[in-house]
Amino acid sequence: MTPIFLLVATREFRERVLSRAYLLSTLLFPVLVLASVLLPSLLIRGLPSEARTLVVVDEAPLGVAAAVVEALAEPGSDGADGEGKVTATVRRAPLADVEEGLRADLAAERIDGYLWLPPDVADSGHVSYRARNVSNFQEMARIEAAVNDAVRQLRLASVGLSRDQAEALFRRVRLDAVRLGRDGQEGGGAEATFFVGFAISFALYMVIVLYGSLVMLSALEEKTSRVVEVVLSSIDASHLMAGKVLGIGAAALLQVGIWTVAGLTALAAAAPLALALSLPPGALDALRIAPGSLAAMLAYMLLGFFLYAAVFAAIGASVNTQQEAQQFAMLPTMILVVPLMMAPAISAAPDGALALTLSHLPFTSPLVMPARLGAADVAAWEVALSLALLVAATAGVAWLAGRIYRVGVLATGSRPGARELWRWVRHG
Amino acid sequence: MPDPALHLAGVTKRYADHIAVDGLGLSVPAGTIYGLLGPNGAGKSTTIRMVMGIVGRDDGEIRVLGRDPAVDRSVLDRVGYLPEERGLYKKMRVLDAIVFFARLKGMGAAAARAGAEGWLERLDLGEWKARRVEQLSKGMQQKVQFVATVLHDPDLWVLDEPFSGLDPVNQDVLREAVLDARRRGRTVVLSTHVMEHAEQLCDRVCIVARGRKLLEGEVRAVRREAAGRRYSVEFDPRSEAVERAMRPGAAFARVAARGERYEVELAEGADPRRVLADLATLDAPLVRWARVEPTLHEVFVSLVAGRGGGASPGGEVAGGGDPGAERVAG
Repeated sequence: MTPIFLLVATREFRERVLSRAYLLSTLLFPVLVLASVLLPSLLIRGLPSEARTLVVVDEAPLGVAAAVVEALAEPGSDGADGEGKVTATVRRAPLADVEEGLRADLAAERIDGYLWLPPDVADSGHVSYRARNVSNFQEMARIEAAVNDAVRQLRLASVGLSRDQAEALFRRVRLDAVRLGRDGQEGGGAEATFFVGFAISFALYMVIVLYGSLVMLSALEEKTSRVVEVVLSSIDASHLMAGKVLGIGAAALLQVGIWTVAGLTALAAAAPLALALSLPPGALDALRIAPGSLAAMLAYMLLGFFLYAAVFAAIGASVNTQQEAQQFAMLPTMILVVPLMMAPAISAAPDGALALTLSHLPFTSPLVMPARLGAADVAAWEVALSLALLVAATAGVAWLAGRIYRVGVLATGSRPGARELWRWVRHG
Repeated sequence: MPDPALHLAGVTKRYADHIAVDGLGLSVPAGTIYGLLGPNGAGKSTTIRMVMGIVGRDDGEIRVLGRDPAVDRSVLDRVGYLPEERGLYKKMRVLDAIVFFARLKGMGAAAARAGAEGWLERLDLGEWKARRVEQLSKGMQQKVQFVATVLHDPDLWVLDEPFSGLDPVNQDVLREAVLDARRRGRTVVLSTHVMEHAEQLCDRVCIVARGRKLLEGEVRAVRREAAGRRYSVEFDPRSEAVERAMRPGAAFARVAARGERYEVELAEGADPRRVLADLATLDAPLVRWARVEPTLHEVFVSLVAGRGGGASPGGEVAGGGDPGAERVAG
């Protein structure tokens, strides 16, 4: 005979999986992920920057302004068709004499900005730029580079070096950073590693909060619809809670499984995909995660879900309305947000004190340890310790939540305070 | 006598600010219909919840079909429970919802499905089985819930206010189902505060108020016990001697003429046998001499209003309501 909590789990699973929301989210999430990864780079690359008209107010030594204009006129790497071209005209006059007129031109949109090269530019290294729009990073970088080059030429000329000699001397060195695992395998590049760690944390956060909320709402619905009364005449409250968490957890697992398979399939086509999207070769290599790490991530996802689902279940059973439930749900959600906000710091130092602490604390480890596993090599004992702590905490929290659940689902009236909850725990 | 289907002794439930059930004891013989009666807040639902193992008791003993549900939950698989506040999973299909509850009670999936279809046909819900519960009217949902309660053919039916919210037609359907259960040897415990239902259905009743038992027994005995010294008297035809005799005096404390009949209350100290003998010697034939038994409703009202457990005439007697009274031909 089917164990009774499995009946509850099966019912929950079917109700979730057969819902329209489930189908939609299963399909839409990969689309969203793909879009959020690809769109920014496609958009920035795809958007032609507009042509700009600048005025260079030149008080600097001869040659600097001309060099700036020349550098600006060169088509940028992104504006091959002359788009994004900057047309600059030189006004050799003190700024004080022309500034008022330039500001008027700027206001009237006759020009897009003006650049002031002061007389002591070689020594001070200070150039002012006034424009309507200074938030296009690429454009700013271009102007800065142009000015930099010109001023550098001026300085170099003063010590007798030609432009070609200077270029040969200052040719840029590129740092090619690739993570090297303990086993000698090369992992992803720096940015990719950071991205993967953060993406893992974020995905786990989404799964835990979304499906945890479902557990909460399911408990609340059973309570407000009074179904719980009949169910409890057949099954113990803690078994009911366990069945609910398991059923909804299975729905979550199925969805994540579908996403993973889809992701792996995409990965199998990674090389052609990267080519098709004209990403640098190997950009998706960071997504190749060792099977052991993958298993650990799965364990963290399940345990993390159980831990938080128990909390959410207790909340759903304790309150009487969705509004109250949302208020209470803020607490576990906030705790989960902490590791997300720390993600940059954790990725920067995956073996630092912060990452080490957060990857062992039960309420944050489900998000932090998988991120570390994606970004660095973590000793097996560390993972084992962290998992053990998580298992212990999950068992304890589930026990507490079960006590609260038992009393809560039958309690009506005002929402309980901390003292009331404690009474439930003791008498539940 | 076989073991009672349900037995309670000294059952107590305390909450922070009040005692919901206070030392309650009762016994439900197997194969009977038993009414748990009481005003709102009397502790009926709390008692039932303790029986069903939903809330724990603070004290006392409960035996459901001979076993303590707090120790052995599995006995509750042989019980069908219809709570006062109904509830079904709104998004589920009607058939699936019923099958789910039956399977919780240990029924196999196929048997549950077949049984549910049969019940739905019987209750005119056959064409609704594939709809979602939320698409049904309130009354239909009640019937669906009733099916879910009894589909596994429990030995003990526990129905908390089963008739509330049902239209008269469906009340009859439910009444028939309950009577049929008794015919098949099942035991039914139902709570209600509508005394007419209890009077029509129940073999035994227990009246509770403020968590305590006020009275328990067979319905007829309960009514007779509460009957006291009220009698209904009729002569056919009446004579002047009768008119003279039927006045307040040594025999009667009060006399009220109701149509053809007199309704009298015996005076303090008057012996009913002597009074009857005297009336029988009058020149007109005495055709009726019957003790007026109060309806369960009257018993209930007088008990719960706190006027003690004995006779309490003075309340209105329901129209000629003495179905159980004995008749004496004159």
